[in-house]
Amino acid sequence: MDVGEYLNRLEKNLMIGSARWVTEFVESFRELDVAGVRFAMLLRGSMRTKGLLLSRLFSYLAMPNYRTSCLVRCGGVDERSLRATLRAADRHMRDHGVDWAWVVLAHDVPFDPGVVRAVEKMNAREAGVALVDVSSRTVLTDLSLVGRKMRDHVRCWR
Amino acid sequence: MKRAARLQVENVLRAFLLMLFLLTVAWVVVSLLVFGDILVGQPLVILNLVLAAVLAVFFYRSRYHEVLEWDDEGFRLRRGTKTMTGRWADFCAVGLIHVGRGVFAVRLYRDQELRDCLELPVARLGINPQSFRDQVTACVVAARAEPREAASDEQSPET
Repeated sequence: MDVGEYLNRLEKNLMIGSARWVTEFVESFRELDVAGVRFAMLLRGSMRTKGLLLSRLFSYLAMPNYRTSCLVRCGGVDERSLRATLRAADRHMRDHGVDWAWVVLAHDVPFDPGVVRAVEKMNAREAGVALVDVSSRTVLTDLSLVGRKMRDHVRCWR
Repeated sequence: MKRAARLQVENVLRAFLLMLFLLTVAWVVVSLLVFGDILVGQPLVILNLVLAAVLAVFFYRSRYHEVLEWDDEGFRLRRGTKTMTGRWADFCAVGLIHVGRGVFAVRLYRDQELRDCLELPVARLGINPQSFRDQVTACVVAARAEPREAASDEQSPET
């Protein structure tokens, strides 16, 4: 599987697949610039799912109306560009009133050990970061709740 | 120019039911006024169904039927009797939107703030939304790059 195919699968999984149990991403953009950083894919949505009747009512009564985003960047990342990516994601969250976001870094070769260490240390409340190595099909996320939640949903190999 | 059109069964059914309802109401009113009673019989029911089907075809074609035509320059969307045209150069972002029940549409944004948009109902027309989005994105990027290149050519000093 190459990165392009992975992006298509991830997009589907986030919009109509398993990620709908967490949040409903309704719109997806490709190749979008955010604060000078080009993201291969950007999805936006909210935690209020639509549903038909009962699920809509339950969602309205029980779920917080949080705005959510998923930003996906492809290609090689070093520690400097990781910081730039996270700054851009933070800027996007502030500009669009996003309450929490998933940041996915997808690549078809193993990630730099420095980047892996940096992600492992992260523990932000509002943003989860995942490193996806498409060639070896490994996913590494940060320790935050948001990060741990995304692990199963970015793992879309089938 | 590429073209996509598809019979929307859901809307055909909707048009048929609407026509059937209107004809039935009309017949009830006419029948009460003329005969003083509501006349019901097999020939009348068959006539009602046939008339409803004929009217539904016209109603569907004039209101719901959608045809999308597009090329590298722009697109033309015909919905019923209304026609909407656009050039890819007028848009700056392309989004894929999930409108519910696994149905997707493509949104074209006129501004960078992603507010002013136009929706193309690609899934209803039988087009693969993801590949259409990729195609349109390439067209929008190319169309927006052309004026910039032309402007930079004009600005460059002549030797």
